[in-house]
Amino acid sequence: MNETSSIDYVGSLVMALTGTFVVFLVLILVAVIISQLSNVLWLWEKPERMLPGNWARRKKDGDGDKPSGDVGGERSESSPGFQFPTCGHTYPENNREIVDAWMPMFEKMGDSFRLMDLYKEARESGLPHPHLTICRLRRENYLIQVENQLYTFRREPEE
Amino acid sequence: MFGLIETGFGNLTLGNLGMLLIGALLIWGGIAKKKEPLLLVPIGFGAIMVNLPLSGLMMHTPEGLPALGGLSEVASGEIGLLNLIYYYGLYTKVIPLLIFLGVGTMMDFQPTIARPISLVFGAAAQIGVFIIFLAAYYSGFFTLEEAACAAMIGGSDGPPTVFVTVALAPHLLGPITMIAYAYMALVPLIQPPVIRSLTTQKERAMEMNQEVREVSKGELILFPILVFLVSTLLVPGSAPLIGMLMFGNLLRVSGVTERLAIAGSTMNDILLVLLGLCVGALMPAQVFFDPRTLLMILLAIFAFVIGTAGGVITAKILNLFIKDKINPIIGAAGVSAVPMAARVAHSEGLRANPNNYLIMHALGPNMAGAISTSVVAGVFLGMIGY
Repeated sequence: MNETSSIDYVGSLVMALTGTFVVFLVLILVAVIISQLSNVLWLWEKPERMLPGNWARRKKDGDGDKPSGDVGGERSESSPGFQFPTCGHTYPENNREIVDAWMPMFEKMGDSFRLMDLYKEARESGLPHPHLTICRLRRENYLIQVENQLYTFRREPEE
Repeated sequence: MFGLIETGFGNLTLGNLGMLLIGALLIWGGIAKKKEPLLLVPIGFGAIMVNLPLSGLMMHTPEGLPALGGLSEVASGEIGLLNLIYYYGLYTKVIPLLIFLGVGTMMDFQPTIARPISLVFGAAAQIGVFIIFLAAYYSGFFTLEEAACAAMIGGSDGPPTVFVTVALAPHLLGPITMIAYAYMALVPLIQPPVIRSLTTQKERAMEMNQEVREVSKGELILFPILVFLVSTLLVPGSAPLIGMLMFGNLLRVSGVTERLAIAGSTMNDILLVLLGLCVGALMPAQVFFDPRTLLMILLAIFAFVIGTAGGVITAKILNLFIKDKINPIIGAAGVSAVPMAARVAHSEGLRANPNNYLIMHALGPNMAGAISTSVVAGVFLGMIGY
């Protein structure tokens, strides 16, 4: 006789409800821990940041003072102990800088192209933050939609 | 007459012929339609191999389970070559676990880490699995173990489904694995009507903030370790699957083990071929044409519909409480089916608004779905198996 054959319909209902609860519990717990990870790493780099004033400033400034391991941040002075490696790319502040860096790519892509192809090409060329950059170029009207899913590049943003 | 009784022709049954046709169809689907070719081609060929009478490639016990044994049994003709692959690869559960390691080396969890709320959608999309578990069991056609395996298909993640089925209902491994992988091709057909029926045009057209937070290297490294610790401490049964997935991912993100990560993805392809061949070999006619197999296909589709709906509804509920609103479409990507479900969410967003690029947002819940299905597998194994 199979052990589980004695489980009745109510038992299986309890199993399903417990299972759903456990899955949510695990995933929510992981989400809570992960959401605090960047803060923990920020404090790990310089424990003195735990002082109330510094903590309040981080909350106010958002990511103004990023941890050294942050992909998009500047490397802060090193603290003793373990340091996470950094990717070392910084996100340019100036649109002109981005356009200059991306110009060879636009020349290669031709008059019109799909954003997906541009993204792939940028990744393969090792340009930093291709997704963010494309979003920014679209928002600033450097990338203009010419037809369904096809875009073109304007050296000067369209008004 | 002419010795035909001793040849395969004399032993061919209608069931065998049907399975040969299905095998040919699977190969055609893989090659001509390019639908999951890495799996459908080996599965199709395996089905053909095992349904040729007297081929001796796969021997079964009187109970209908594959006979077990090693090289000496192959040499003495007691078992076939495919029995050997089944024994070392599936019976020991090595293949699904190693495939998950390979999957881990290919997964990018950055969107999930940047928006941790994505993990909730992964959990919500598993509601369908538990509802179908109950439906299958209450139908009276399935035992508790079989119901759990049939429901796992709805999680739309191959390795956890195979892992649970080997542990709980190995006699259903062939049809369940075949359905689990083949119906991935149906994701673009199943999800859009569910999404459209649960959302308004305005909700689908909602653009999300494209400035997703950049994730630090430290977060990327700590993520797999923390997920493994939390899920294993709470659901020990999920340790083999989550452990392999997260170990593979650690190899990818550590920055010092690129060679191992590349080897992991190559190994994945080889293992998928072996898995496909083995699954095809587990589809003798009498198993495949069992009415319960057809019922499982229906249940799997319903599980997927409910999972998709669960993700969308959860996103809508969360929108009532959060400031930075979420396009409810991305909740649908919480079902695993990586990256198909994310692509479907993206194209539904584009359909509603040509400037609505949701792919990066949808990948977060999609990756969370892979973690959730492993946890669900652990839950089933903990409650029913072992």
